[in-house]
Amino acid sequence: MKKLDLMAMCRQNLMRRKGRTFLTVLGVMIGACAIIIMVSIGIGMKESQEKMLSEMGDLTIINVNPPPANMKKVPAMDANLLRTIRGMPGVVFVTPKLTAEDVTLKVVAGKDKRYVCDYVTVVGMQRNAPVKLGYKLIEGGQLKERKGSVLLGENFAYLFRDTKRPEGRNMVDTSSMYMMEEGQQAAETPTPYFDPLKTPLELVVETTVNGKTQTKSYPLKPEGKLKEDYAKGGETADGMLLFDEELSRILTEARRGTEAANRKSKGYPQVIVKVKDVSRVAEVENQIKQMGYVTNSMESIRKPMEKEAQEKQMMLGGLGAISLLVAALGITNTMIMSISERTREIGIMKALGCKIDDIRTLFLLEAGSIGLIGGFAAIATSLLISSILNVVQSKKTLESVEQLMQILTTPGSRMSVIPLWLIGFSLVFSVFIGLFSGFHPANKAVRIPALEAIKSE
Amino acid sequence: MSEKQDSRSKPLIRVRDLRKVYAVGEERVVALDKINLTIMQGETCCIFGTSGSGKSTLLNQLAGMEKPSVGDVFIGNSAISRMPEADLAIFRQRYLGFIFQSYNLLPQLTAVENVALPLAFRGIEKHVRNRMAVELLKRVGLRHRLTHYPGQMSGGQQQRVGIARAFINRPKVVFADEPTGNLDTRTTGEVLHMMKEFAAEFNETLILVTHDPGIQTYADRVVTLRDGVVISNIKGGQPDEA
Repeated sequence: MKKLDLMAMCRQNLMRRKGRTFLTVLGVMIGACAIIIMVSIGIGMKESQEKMLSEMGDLTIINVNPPPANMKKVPAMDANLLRTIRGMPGVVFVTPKLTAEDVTLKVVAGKDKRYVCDYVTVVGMQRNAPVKLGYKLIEGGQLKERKGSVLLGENFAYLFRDTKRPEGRNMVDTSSMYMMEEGQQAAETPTPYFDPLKTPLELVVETTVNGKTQTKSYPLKPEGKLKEDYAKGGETADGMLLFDEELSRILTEARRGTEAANRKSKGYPQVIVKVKDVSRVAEVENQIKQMGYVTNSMESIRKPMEKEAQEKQMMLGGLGAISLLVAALGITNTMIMSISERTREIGIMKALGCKIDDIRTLFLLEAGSIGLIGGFAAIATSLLISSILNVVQSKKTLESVEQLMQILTTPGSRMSVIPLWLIGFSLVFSVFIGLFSGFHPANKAVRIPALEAIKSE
Repeated sequence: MSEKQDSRSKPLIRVRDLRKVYAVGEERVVALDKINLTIMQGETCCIFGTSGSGKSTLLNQLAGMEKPSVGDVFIGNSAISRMPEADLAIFRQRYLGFIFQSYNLLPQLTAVENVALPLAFRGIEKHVRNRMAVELLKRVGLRHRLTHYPGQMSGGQQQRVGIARAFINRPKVVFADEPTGNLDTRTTGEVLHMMKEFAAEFNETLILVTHDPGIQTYADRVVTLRDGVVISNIKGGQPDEA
């Protein structure tokens, strides 16, 4: 028989018993819907977990620190270590992170050094580190290859006191930035005394050697302003970031003659490693740990959360699978009913020369169609249910289509997420369930003899 | 008209030493025994007998619906009694037609679709087979019933659809199992004339199974069964030794 004829016949047969076909399709729909919704809730859960974790810090970054002094001997963290780590599979970027530690750094700005910052967090990293580690800029550009090139923290300007104002009123009042009513947007940011990107800055190093205080200044060339992100470090807020070799030179000069200079070099105080993706973090972190260094990353938090999410997802998916199993039994039942009703008809078809394969195909087609229609209905229904869940979850009243779209497309805040693969999977799965359920009845139909046509009723 | 063809025709259906035994519980019932029969091409053969005589069982063996316990049935050169199910489907598509007592039209199909069904099984294009079906339905006088469903037609009309369906693929043999069993006398005459006419047109063999002695008059050959055995085989009024 021609494929088109088989399909037309299949349609006719399904339409003959509309009620029964509808109920069977409904069964498949409910089953498939249960699976889709359960899995989508699992995905939503995972998504919001990931969002939460990424707010806590970058999931692909590992911080490496030297072991405590009294622990076993491990080589200092130096250029060699950087090279070793860079060679590990999955590692995309490695940078040392220098801090001033024992040296006091000041910054002066403006005409006659009117503005003074008495303490500032200074961090030294490789020149391309801010780009590689995902530091965000509010203003200006990245570090350049020139002396004094520096990126400033978002609130850098508020660190300065005005030497021409009286004590107690010589700093910008920033309290308004932190006093927010719940749900209220941050109040207007206060205006700083000057724009540090456009004002000459100087880094001043004060050291005390044998009771005498020495000062040394280094002109700074601010390139841009960083966005505050404490997950990355304090330098993005009230500090500054410059090229590690430059900072290292400044620190060495400052320590000259002091006790610190006599101590043996301890290497970098911290190394930051960026891994290609989350799945490689554990592997790389383990390797570094085995070398004797202390590491930390979001992995230790992410792992158990992921496991828990997986367990929940499995449980939810299992519930859905049970309902689909029941639906599969429904299809089998419908097909067996249909065959016993159509025994004579199948006999007639055989007597008129219908091939066995065509009869089998016809029944599989009918069962598969029930699965397919059920699958389509399930997808439509699940998309609707999912949207309702998300809107309810967002606790917002719907005012516009744009707002609805925003609720449905913002990752991390959605309760249920139906990705494209889930739609495709459920469709294929529904059809498969249909065919699987129709397999036994189809074989039963094939065995009906042509003689049934002649038997009197 | 048929006599002229008969004289030149070759044997088409040959039955050799056929025996059919059914197991009913512990017992074994012999439904047919020692059947030897030759039916010529273009012949109209009436298998006559009372209920339980084995006439329907014989039809089943001839049409390949059931396998005999012993013996063989040949249609042309094909041993239909030994044919596997898959080959039988093809054989039926090409060479056999069926007319049933209770018409056996598919209720979800229109008259045209029912008639065209055997051609659909052969994979013939819809517009081709429907045109052929319409042609044949016009010839059986159902010009105004083409798109009617079986439920909307009388018994006589349904059986005429059944006849059109049996002849649409130009079979070699048409089997008719009590074709007029559910019809009144007047319709019976019409239906039998129609079958004879179609069969004669293409020199097709017609096997009529009936318990109605009146139908014998339409046949070239009358085979009478009693208790599973052929008690007479009369061709054109003369006993035929086959």
